[in-house]
Amino acid sequence: MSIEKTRKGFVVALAGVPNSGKSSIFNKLTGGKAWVGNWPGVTIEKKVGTLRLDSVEVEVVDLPGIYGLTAYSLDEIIARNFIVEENPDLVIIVVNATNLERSLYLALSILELGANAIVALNMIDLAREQGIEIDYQKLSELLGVPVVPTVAVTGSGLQNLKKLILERAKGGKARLNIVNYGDDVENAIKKVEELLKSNVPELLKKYPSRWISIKLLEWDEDVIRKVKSYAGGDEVIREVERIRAELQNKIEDLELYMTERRYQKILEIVRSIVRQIKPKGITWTDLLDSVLTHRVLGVFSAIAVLYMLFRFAFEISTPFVDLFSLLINGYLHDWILGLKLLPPWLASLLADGIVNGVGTVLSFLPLITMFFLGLAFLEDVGYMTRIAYLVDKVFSKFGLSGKTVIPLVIGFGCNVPAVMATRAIEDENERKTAALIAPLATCSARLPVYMVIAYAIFKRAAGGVVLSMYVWSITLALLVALALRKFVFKGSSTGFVMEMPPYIMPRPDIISMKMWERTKKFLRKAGTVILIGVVFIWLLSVTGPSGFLGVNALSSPELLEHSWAGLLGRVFSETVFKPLGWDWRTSVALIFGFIAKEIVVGTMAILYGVGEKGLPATLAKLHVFTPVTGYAFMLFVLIYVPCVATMATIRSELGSRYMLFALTYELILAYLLALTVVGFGHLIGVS
Amino acid sequence: MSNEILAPKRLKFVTVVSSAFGVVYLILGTCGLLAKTSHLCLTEVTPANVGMSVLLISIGAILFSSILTLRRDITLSLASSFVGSLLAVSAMVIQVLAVGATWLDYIINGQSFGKKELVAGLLRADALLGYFMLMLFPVVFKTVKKYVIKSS
Amino acid sequence: MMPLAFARPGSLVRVIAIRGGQGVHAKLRSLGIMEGRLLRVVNLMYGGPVIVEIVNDVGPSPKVALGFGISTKIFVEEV
Ligand SMILES: Nc1nc2c(ncn2[C@@H]2O[C@H](COP(=O)(O)OP(=O)(O)OP(=O)(O)O)[C@@H](O)[C@H]2O)c(=O)[nH]1
Ligand SMILES: [Mg+2]
Repeated sequence: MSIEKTRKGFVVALAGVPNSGKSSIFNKLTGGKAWVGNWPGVTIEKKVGTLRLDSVEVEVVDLPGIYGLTAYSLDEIIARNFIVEENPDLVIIVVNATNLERSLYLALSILELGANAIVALNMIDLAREQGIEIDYQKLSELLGVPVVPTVAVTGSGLQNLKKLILERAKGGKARLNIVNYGDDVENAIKKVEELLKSNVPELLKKYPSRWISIKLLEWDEDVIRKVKSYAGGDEVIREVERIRAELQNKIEDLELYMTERRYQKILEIVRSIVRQIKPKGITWTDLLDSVLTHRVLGVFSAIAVLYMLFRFAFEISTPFVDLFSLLINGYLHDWILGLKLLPPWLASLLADGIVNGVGTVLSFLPLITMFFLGLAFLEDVGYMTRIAYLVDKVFSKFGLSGKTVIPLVIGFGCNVPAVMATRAIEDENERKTAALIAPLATCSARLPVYMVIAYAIFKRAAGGVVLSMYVWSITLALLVALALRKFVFKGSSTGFVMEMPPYIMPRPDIISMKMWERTKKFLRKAGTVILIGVVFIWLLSVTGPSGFLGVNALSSPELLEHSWAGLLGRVFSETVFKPLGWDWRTSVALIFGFIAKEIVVGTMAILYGVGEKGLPATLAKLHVFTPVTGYAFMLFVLIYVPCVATMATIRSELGSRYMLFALTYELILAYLLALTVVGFGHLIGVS
Repeated sequence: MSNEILAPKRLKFVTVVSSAFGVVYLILGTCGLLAKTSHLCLTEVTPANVGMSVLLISIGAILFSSILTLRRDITLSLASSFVGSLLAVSAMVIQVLAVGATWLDYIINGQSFGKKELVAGLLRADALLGYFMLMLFPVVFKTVKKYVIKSS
Repeated sequence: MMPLAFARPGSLVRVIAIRGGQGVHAKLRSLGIMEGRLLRVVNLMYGGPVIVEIVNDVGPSPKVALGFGISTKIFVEEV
């Protein structure tokens, strides 16, 4: 795993408190596309990129944000371990100028560790807006390391940063004793340092003795474990216990005392570097928050914002979806079939298989792109954290903290990053629960299925029906969470703690980059997984136990029923799906939807031989679904296995046991709920 | 704090006007909800549309609260006017865009031009009230901008 | 003295004591919330989370949301 072994040049790590702009700096330095967003905990995995400076190759590592060198959540552990254990040549401490105190707390911890560091004083544009000017040269003097002011989003100051990286990556010395802990503690630190020198000299080759001593006096579990792993370590710990007891005669709460000393130092630094150029007053963020986080008005605002985003994505994209559908399923399809030079089987593969299958999925591209645009906007304004705050009270009744809403909202885009985003949740039980319910967030791949069926059966009410899937999605996620927390992941929650960053005006370049990145993933999937799936389905439908059925199988229902697809579908539609009233074609679609949900629509498009009217019209004409069986089908698609990729992610995050668990509960829940809907429909007589 | 900078007259104007609009939003929102059951409420402006009604009521509640909190908390009162009118203007923009999208859809599908439907869409409550809010918004924005520390 | 969870929105309070395990303490401290600090209560949901601004005499004052469980463990006094 160690990057050390493969390196050619230097390794430079970006460290800082969450939401300080590390990933933004990383992107500007390496030309990379690390995910950014205005909430703490965007980056949950380290990301490596390269920066060429003159002839030197520098490996830049973007890390998750941390508040201190004691880590609580998985993402924090990744960052902490990298800084403490992997010894990067240089650490760029990204200091958030609008959050100086907390940033400096971390900066001091990293400097105390003896890391070779420089400071990027980021977001000075926002600080200036708040009426604050920071004397960065003074900061540099006080910390004993170079400081560069930067604005990551515009790239200002990054040339200087690069120059400094080149200068300092070769080495530089750190000042270890910026904080003075007062005579009593300083004496104790000296004593422990002596102890370490004589008992565990090996350890000191890796870490400075002062740092180990301070951490031992603070009774840091990680460092204690580290010391104990060396011969002679146990003795050190016993002795430290004695020294601590002695100290506690004078200082009651040693940890509090040492933290206070650090904050005193930070306050002293902040006082001497900050100049308030305008009187302190109400900021835009304060003003907006007074309504947006109000216990009543905040809820009204959230309803309005989310409803408008929903309309934006769904209604405004309709003409474009229709246009795509007309061009692809209409003109392109007919044009290929009309080409006289192609052999009929190839024309059919291209037109009936690929164009109808992949094309129907692709025609939803405008909808999905606009949805991603809305999502990127939510993420970058800083509203996600406010949603988390607003739902915390309700979520806590279900054994989750408000933070869980972030993976769920991301999950509306795609479940894979949603499962990963749960890493930022500190509580282990809560995190596992969140990862297991994340697939219930109805992702953009499921949208085409809803749209097709809703427009086929519900016509004018389609919008409301699609919206109801989102309501189901969240309701089920919460109920499953409640069950999991009651029976599987018991234990009380550690609670909700989350920083609320200032609102920022989203930048068009960042928003469009994020929208494009997500869209690209969708396109890539269409060109690979979905394409292969669709070709496979085509093969299954033009061949059968009796061999090649001929390409007109797709237009003749009798022939098609004798294809492999027909046989396979009937096995399901006449057994498990019988009570649900789904025909063999939709059954086949569901089976292959295991791979990726888009394939459901692709398969239906092939098997129903979609004409120029598009899938919804065809489904309506053939009366494939009644309102009841259609709604049951949508619910089933919402709940049953998200896709192979999500399952693989759950496996890598939680292990195969939980993956199987997720698979099972989803299948059972999907089936039972669909059955309930159909049963209920019969009961009230709509069928 | 910065309250003194603000001309009290202007603040009162913003509060009173946005609260008055708040009342109109609330009434039309309620009408939209009742449109299904009561024919009195069913008009061109407020069709039976649950989403629209809920949106109108949410915006109305935020706008109206401005006058309730004026005495107690100027920041909250001003913020309610601001957020309320911002949401109101956005709702209008989205409705106009949605009407435009419907129109485009007619063309693409080669259907005849649903002129009546389009006019009705542009005169729906969320759009109609939004046009007025668009006129009010610059005033609210300027007032709020004076209130928060100015950006350099 | 009262738990932060029951403070008045808009009020300025001082942290008197923090109850709870070492984990809670350390987490809050790394965020700058500890005994003696001034907090401004931005907004709160009764029986739900609270947003506080950690007041600094100089420089910006960041905001943190704290869940109900944690905010009942932080004891404050209105100033
Ligand atoms: N105005 C302004 N915005 C910035 C600056 N740097 C970053 N941002 C914005 O601040 C937000 C956070 O940036 P990120 O780069 O995601 O922060 P991070 O440190 O990687 O955050 P985590 O991964 O959550 O720890 C994003 O919305 C950025 O667009 C800056 O210098 N000025
Ligand atoms: Mg990041």
